[in-house]
Amino acid sequence: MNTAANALEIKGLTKHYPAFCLDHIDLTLPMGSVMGFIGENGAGKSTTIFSILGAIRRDGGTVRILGQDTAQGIPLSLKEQIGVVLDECCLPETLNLKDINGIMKAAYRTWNSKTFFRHVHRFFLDETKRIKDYSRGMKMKLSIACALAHDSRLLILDEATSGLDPVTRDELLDLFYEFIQDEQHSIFMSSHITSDLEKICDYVTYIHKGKLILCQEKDGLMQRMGILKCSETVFRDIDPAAVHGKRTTAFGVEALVERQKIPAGLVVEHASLDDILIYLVKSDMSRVKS
Amino acid sequence: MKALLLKDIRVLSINMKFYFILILLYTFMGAFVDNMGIFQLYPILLFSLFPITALSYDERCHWNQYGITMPISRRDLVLSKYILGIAGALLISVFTLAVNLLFRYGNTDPGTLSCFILAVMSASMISLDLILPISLCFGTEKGRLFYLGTVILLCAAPAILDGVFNAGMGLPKDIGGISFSGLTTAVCAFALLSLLLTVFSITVSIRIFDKKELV
Repeated sequence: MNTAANALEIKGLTKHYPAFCLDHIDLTLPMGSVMGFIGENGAGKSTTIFSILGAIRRDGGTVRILGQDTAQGIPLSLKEQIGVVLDECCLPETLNLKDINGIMKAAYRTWNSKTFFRHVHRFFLDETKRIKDYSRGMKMKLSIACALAHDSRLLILDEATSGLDPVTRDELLDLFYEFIQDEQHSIFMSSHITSDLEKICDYVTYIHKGKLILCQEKDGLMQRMGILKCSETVFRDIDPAAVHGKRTTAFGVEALVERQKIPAGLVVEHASLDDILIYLVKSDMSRVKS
Repeated sequence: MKALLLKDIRVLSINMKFYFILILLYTFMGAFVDNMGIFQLYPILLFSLFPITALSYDERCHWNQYGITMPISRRDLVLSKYILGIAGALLISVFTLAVNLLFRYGNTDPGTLSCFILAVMSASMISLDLILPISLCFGTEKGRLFYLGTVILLCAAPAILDGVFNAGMGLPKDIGGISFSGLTTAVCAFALLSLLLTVFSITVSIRIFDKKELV
């Protein structure tokens, strides 16, 4: 088994389209960690994921998965160790679970039918139904069951929980928790739902219009940042280096600040991941990038 | 490769039941109706479209996007469609030959019949060789439009072959000045041409698919 220190290492990943450019993306996902990959629609999340997976050709940069370089494509043996869940279930809709199990068994050397059906039963997926008769949530659960039924060490999830109800999302997060208990397992997940990422992620990466805005350890970031609510007069005395974004309301100023740089006596409230990202994207973001 | 073929066969067997019945019907009709050229031509040509149908089902569920993340190469994704087409054409050709020999025993010349079926099979492979690279490059909708064009071109073939086959019913050794050995040579040359075109088509398709962005 490969014992690389990082599950995923991306350096200078670039992809040009006429109307969009993925601009030198750098990120590192340490082994045994979960990274949330956030960005608005069209920010380049799926382009990044498809570049990692080799579905689209990158114009520049390197991608190492589980310590292996993928410049010449991902070796088939490495693909055995990558579980992928895309934003829609890409399995033929007329097939049923028995068919899927047969196909996957023929595709993956490490496919484990028992594990597959264990997940199927856990998710209460009806074995007699065809995939087309499943709800979106059931389809996503099936995709996840497939991703976990072979020797996956890295899960790559593209909007796997979007469009699902909170109960289903919670079930899936529980499953991801179980998966990550093995320190050789890692998850790279893109999502719009920052509350899910707050629960499970060790690292957050944010991209905006194809550029990397932030790639940091989540707990450290959330401890470091807070929301300061004060009057305009008080705000004028705050060190500008401490402020990463602000908005003026009828009651004064609300600003995303670095707690340590704020004078004692002022109340700095907890900032959610959503708050941090929204303030960052609306302000000069370069200072937090480091 | 096995996984891809399993998937395509399963998907087609579920979705194309009506076509399978139609193929059986035409094949058996061909064995009982005297002017049977069209009945033997149709199932083989229809079978040649099955890989395109399989490809359109793939497009519908974005299978290739997912398939590329599995331990499957781009090359295998392409080759599986050709193997499906070749195996299907061979299978239906042998089936047609067997049904006709069984039900028309003593009433047909096996040599001429084999030549006819080989020619039709080669023609169906040529149509697949032309459509698959176009479908892989531009999508199956455009591939099907192109198919209509090739069918018109291929319409010339049945007219000639039907005449040859009907002549074969009476076991003539000379048809319109073409000797049986001459006909065999012509059909074998046509089959060889189809084989070469298949190799060329596979090479082109692999190159196209290798550069294709699967999003």
